Amino acid sequence: MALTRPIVAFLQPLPPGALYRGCNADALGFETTAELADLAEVMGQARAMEALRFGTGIRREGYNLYVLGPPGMGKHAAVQRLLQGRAAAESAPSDWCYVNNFKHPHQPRALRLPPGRATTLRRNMEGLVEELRAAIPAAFESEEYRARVEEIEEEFKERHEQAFRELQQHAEQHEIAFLRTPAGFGFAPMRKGEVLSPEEYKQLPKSEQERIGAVIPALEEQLHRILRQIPQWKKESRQKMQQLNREVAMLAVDHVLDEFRACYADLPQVADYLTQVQQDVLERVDDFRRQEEPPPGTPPELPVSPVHPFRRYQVNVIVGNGEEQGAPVLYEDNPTFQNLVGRVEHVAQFGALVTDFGLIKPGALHRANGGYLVLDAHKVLIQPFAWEGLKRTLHAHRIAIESPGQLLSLVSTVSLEPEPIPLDVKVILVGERLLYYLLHRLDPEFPELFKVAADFEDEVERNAENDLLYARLITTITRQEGLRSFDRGAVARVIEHGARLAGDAERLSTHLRGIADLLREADYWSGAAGHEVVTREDVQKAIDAQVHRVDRLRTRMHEAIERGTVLIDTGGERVAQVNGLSVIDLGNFAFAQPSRITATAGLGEGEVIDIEREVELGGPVHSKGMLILSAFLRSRYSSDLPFSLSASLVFEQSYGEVEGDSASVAELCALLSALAQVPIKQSLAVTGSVNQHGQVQTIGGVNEKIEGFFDVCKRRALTGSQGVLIPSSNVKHLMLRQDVVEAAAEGQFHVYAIDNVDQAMELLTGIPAGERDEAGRFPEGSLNQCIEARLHELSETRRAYAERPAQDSSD
Amino acid sequence: MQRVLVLLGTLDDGEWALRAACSLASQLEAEILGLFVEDINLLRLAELPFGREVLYGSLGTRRLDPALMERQLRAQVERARRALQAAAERVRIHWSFRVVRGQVVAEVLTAAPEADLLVLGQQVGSRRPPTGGAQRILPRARPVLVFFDGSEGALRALATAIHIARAEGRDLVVLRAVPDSEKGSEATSALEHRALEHRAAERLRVAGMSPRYQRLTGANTASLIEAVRRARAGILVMPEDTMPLGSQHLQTLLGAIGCPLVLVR
Repeated sequence: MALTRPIVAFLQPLPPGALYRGCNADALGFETTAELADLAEVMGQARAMEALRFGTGIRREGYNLYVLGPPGMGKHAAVQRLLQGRAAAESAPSDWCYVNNFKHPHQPRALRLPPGRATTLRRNMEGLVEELRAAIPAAFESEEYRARVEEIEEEFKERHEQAFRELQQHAEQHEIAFLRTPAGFGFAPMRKGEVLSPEEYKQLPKSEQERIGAVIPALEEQLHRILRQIPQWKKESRQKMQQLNREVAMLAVDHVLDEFRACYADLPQVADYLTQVQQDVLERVDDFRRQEEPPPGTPPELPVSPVHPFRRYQVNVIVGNGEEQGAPVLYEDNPTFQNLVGRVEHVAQFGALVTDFGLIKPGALHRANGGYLVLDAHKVLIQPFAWEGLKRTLHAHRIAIESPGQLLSLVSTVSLEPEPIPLDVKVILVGERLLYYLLHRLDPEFPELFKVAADFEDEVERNAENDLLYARLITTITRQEGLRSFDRGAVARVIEHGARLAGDAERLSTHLRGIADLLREADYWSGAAGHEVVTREDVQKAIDAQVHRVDRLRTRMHEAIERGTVLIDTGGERVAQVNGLSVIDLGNFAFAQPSRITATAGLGEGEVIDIEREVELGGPVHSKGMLILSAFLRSRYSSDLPFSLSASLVFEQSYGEVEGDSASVAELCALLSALAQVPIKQSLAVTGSVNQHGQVQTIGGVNEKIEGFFDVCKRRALTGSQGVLIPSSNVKHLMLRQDVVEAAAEGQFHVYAIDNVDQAMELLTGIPAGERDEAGRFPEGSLNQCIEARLHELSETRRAYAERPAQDSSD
Repeated sequence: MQRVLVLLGTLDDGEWALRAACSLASQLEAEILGLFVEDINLLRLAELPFGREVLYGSLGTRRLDPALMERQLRAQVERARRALQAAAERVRIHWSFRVVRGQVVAEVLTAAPEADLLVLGQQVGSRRPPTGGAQRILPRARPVLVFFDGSEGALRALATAIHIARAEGRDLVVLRAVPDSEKGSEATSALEHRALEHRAAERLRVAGMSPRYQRLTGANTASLIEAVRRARAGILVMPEDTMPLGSQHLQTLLGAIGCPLVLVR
């Protein structure tokens, strides 16, 4: 069937004004940003800020916050600013410290003190120990003490000597010598102070020998009695010494402690601790009496060594709010489990790891207790045990310090079990939306603990009011960063770039990081150019330089097209071949390149084969688009006949995954061209998705796609017939590059807004699509009529094939 | 001064006696003579048919025989010799060691003329029971008590006492014996005595010592023992020629004063 191309009025390209919505600098009403006031509020985040105010204001269980939004939105800054303001008006929370538990040293006690007094207590305790170290030895060096010690000594010595003297006298009365031998004592008969020799003894009368034989055992028995009593005398003497030491120490300790105790009379917990200190000092009074210097040869003790005798009286201040004003606002940028809940450190001592209450280190929850703790959700989630630890602590309302080893029961060595500290903190998690929704869905505890979501907007409406707010936002950033002032032209260009970042002529991006980066770089280029204020050209230079730094890949891909490595036609006509457009997003930069889409059509059983899907290079959304266009074909052209088409579609020279349905209009056009055998103008590229009724729907990245095809055409020289077909619903998103707009104004390049596939086919082929008349027929010579006829022909052919075996058998 | 004699083999305070003797010898640039007396009384006890000893630590009793006693004494001698050698070498003085067998006090007195200074530990004489180590918990050292009767010997004793007190950080107590002159004997003697007292005061002043003074009434052993007890003396320093230090007196004195005795010739 030969189709003619009548002269008909097809869709007109969009006027240049529709391709770019500029910002009227004159309407801004200022010369430079120096005239503007700072922006106090966070722009366009009224909903999020209200949620933040609510979430931080409500003091109920589980009303912690999750601040959602993409990175670079200024969430942290907004949260910090709000919290600083709120916290300053709140009272400072209590101080906390850990002290020794004298009865159970492995369970250190937590003491709560009014703000600022923990540090004072620590200093006081240090002073107390110093005083005791002076007062106790002094008490034990007093003349009175010495006299009493000597009394006790003398008493023992007297008893001892008296007993032996009596024994000696008793022995001497019987002319027996009481002798000290190398290992003990002995008794021997004597004369004139000398022991008798064996010969002398033998010469003694028998009766005398018998007397001696009787006396010596009696004396030995008396000696035994004395020796048995000595340990008892020693014990009594020792007890008296202990009692004396205790009395002397108590006097010294009481004297020092009484004054000290008066300072803490208002704190019963501290008073109780001081009583325990007093008891302990009395029990360990020898530590205070000991010489400062260790005996030579002993290894030097580490300063932090837990065995140092006076460490037990130290105060480990976990939270000291003395110099802080208001409630604490803390951001923990490394939220490991131990950085959150605290840890117990150990020191190596002679090869063993030892610890005590002085080695307890606070976590972020301790420091933020009574105030606000800001955490990055992602960082908390990737740290082992951190998320579980945080949840458990929030549930329990108290901070219990445990090591991960203890948590998992992996470590069985003796460690500390510090008394848990009551927790009253507002946790603000900051993170991406995806994490919020995943946590909501997968962690049942999350909604209980984080009841308030503050969702940051990515963009705001673009209107005169917001343009001015944007200008004030620019002002605020320039002042914070110490940048040059921006003139109104520069501000207008930044606003326009804000719309481009939003990918929408009617919206402005609130991505603060992107804007701030642009301002800094524009300031740099302004300085390089020797400008006093930043101008529109400086901003443009910054934008161009940003793009230039990251567009190596785009340049290489466009070169490949120019050199014919990647086959893309930008002129002429081809049947069943159309230029589609795909976006490549590199994260910090997105660009588009044309892709050749081709189709084949022939007799079959009604399937449209998506080659990308067959080889598993097509994503589900792409496959969906394919099925939709298949359904469109069936419903429009072959609703009452068997759909006897076998078609295939492919992205030529595409070796990666293809996802999205934005090429479905292009694919449909290629297929229709294949069916109608009508050539398609290769000077045009198509983007848009299609529904089952042939209507063209919105796609993303429209600006990049138009610019992508423009760049390829421009490299080969613009012919005036080139252009891009886009969904008309995307027109409001157009914020095209200036060179594209200029080419369009000069009639060198065109952008067409289409509503349906018929408009697309008419533009691509130059042939009217045709609508069904009252009889339901397409006009003769129209594209649709041609396609329908082709499909009917395929159905007939198929029917003929289906009937042939029956005819053959009847023959 | 040439030689310091120290009696070795004493029990509780043997170590102190040896250290003090070495210190004095070093200061006086003298040599030290360690004397170990194998107590004849012990050997006789061991030879007696019923000789036995009550053991101090276990409260048991065992039979003694001469061989066992000889062994015990040999071991003691060797210990004493080693201790003397170590102490003397520490202060780098010449030393000699002598072992004699006999009555302890008599042997000390026999050897005494060879030395200018005698340091006698508390247990000399083997007649005194141990004090039970009670002194170990004494918070401070007891004072040095020096007998001073105004004689030349007393002046030397005072110098020795000053040395010990300073070296060991002890207080000094001067035990002033009332000389015969004050009881109305010759005037010259009284004058000499005052001169000597003056010299003593001068020595103390130069040494920077400010001693306490205690009066001794009655120059006999009993009053001396009483004075030592009253002063709670840790060491008694005496001129050898002052009192009749016969074997019996010395034994009585050592048995009763409960502290080491330093005799200065």
